[in-house]
Amino acid sequence: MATTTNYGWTTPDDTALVKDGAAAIRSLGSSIDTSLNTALGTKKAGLVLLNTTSFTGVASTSLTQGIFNSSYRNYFIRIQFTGATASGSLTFRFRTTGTDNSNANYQKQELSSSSTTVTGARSANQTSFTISSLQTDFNIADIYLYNPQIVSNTGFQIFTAIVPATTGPLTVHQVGGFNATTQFDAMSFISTGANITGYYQVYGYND
Amino acid sequence: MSKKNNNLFIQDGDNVIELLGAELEAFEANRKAMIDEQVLVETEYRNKQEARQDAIKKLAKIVGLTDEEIAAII
Repeated sequence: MATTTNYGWTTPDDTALVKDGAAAIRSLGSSIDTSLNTALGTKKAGLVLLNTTSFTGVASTSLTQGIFNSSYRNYFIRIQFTGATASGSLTFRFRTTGTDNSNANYQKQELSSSSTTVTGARSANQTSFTISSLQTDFNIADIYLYNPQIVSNTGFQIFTAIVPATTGPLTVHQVGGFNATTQFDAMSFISTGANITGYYQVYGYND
Repeated sequence: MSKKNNNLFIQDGDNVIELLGAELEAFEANRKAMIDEQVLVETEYRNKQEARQDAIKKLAKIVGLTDEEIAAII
């Protein structure tokens, strides 16, 4: 009996009889069902890639309208970005139907480290959220986003690695939220200085 | 993608848009407001850091630390 390469599912031989076709399909379907459920641990993937986008030499980049929707409660965004010069910062604003939200509701607490210096800082009631200063080397940020599409406060935590070759790497852990129950369907990354180049991936967490 | 110098482009999803006229002015004004806001936050943070360092220096002097010892802890 022939079997598939990876999971060893049984498939009919070329010489198998047509009268046994129904049983062969049933057996193959059952094997696939079992293997998928074993691989995923459930009936669907936990983390689903929704979008990958590159951007080059722009002042801002916005996620596709509607990428935050009722299909998922929480999201994960991984962004890599570089400034054309070491000027300004990368910030973000949430977005609804194509309009960035600049209400003074962005709250932040951060813990950063540079060599042996560890510092904390807090800012409240800002009109945007600053992720990090821009460098000509690449920066990376992992953004965990909670409830952007729910009628609830939107929360987030961000792990950022700033990788300037001249001064050595820095780490920043930020937590914060948008202190209102606004529903958002996307967000924008906005430079306050140099144009930015990079890419991001957006994932949805299945409940 | 070719771009002229000094022109501003934004990206919405996969679409790249050049900002012109009123849209460009609005974006620049918005960005200036964000920068002003950041400066205020950074100034407040720097002032708190300086106040903290001054307080540590005063305390350190009281307990008799040398300037080198103070420099090592702030």
